[in-house]
Amino acid sequence: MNPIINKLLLSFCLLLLLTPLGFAKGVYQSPEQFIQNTIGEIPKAKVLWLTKEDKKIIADILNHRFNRLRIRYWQEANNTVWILDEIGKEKPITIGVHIQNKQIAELKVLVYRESRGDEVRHKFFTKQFNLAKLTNDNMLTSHIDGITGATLSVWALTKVARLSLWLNNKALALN
Amino acid sequence: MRKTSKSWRISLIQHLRAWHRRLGIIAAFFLIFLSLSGIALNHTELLSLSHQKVNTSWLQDHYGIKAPNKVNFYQNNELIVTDRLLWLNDRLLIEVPDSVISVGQFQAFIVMVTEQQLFLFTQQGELVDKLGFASGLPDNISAMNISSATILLNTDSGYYQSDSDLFNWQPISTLAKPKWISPSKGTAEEKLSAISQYKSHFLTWERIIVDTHSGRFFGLFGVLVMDVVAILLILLSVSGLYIWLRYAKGKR
Repeated sequence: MNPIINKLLLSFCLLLLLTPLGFAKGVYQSPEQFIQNTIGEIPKAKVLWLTKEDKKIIADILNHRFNRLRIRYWQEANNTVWILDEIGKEKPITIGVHIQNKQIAELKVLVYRESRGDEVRHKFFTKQFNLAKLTNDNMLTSHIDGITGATLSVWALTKVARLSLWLNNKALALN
Repeated sequence: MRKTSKSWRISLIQHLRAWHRRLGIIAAFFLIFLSLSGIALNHTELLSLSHQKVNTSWLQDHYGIKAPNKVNFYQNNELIVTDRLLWLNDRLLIEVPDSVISVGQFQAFIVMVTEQQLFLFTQQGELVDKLGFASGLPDNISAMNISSATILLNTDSGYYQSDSDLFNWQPISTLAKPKWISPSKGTAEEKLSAISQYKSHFLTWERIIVDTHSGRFFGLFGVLVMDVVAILLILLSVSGLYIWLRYAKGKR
């Protein structure tokens, strides 16, 4: 075979091999930018205080204990924005969720800290959450297709989507 | 021929009985110990073994548990930091992944900062909030100052001041150098108590029982001894079964 073509093929293979390992981690958008892009000018943050019963429900959604007593969020009319961290495999993923009229308007991975599995940050995956609502048993109305090799990250995003919808309902009920 | 065969079988039974007796005596101690430790491990939740901390210093030394590198006291020595653990008197509040920088009282809350995070607790030690990058907290924190309405952080990129909710952090400059919170060293007795408390955090009675049950408490030697005991018990069972079968057959 032509030596130039051999070199090109080898370089292409190396690029394919290195790309997922080297570039999975990243900060894709700051929380402030996400809020601005979704509800415009950043309003003053609000605080949602959680009761013991709330924490039990949240623990059920997340499938682990939730220790905090308060969560910060931003609200503009019937829009709320939640910035939440959830562990994928070992490290937290920072996820922004914009909810409008009790359904997800946008879900975005803001910071991804694992070395692999970041396929979940792409639009082709996150757009599955758009228009998802919460059922009576706190599940999503939309089916979310998984990604091979990123199962834990997919679960993390799904849990955060459910949690955000639940928190949104609680926050709107209190206001 | 039949007589030789019969006497051979009688001799075998006699030898087996003698060895069965000897093995039984040797194995009795181990059998009792393994049974008791096994029962304890079967009911570890009921006995709360995984929550029972070991305060015995020679056991801690045996497991290589060392004293903390730093012991700092805050707020009338009620809040104690031993390396990456924060205690409210004798109750562990949290273990954090990076170094604890400072602890203080802010309004009705206990505040602790590490290099990358800020933790807020109630006076009873319940976690209220955890702030980090996603919350807009500046990173590389090296010191903290608390006033009645705000918290001031010293970071690599300058001073940052919070609002009353600790949600917004703005860079500021000050005319005078702020008075950063510094820990006290505590009395010798308080320090010893903190060290003992820190060391006992890493060892529970469940761990000790599991390791003695398996023999690992004594390292490879203990494991091999337990393997030999297991073989003894197998031989005991087999010899006992054989003797019983021969006896039952003889009775018929």
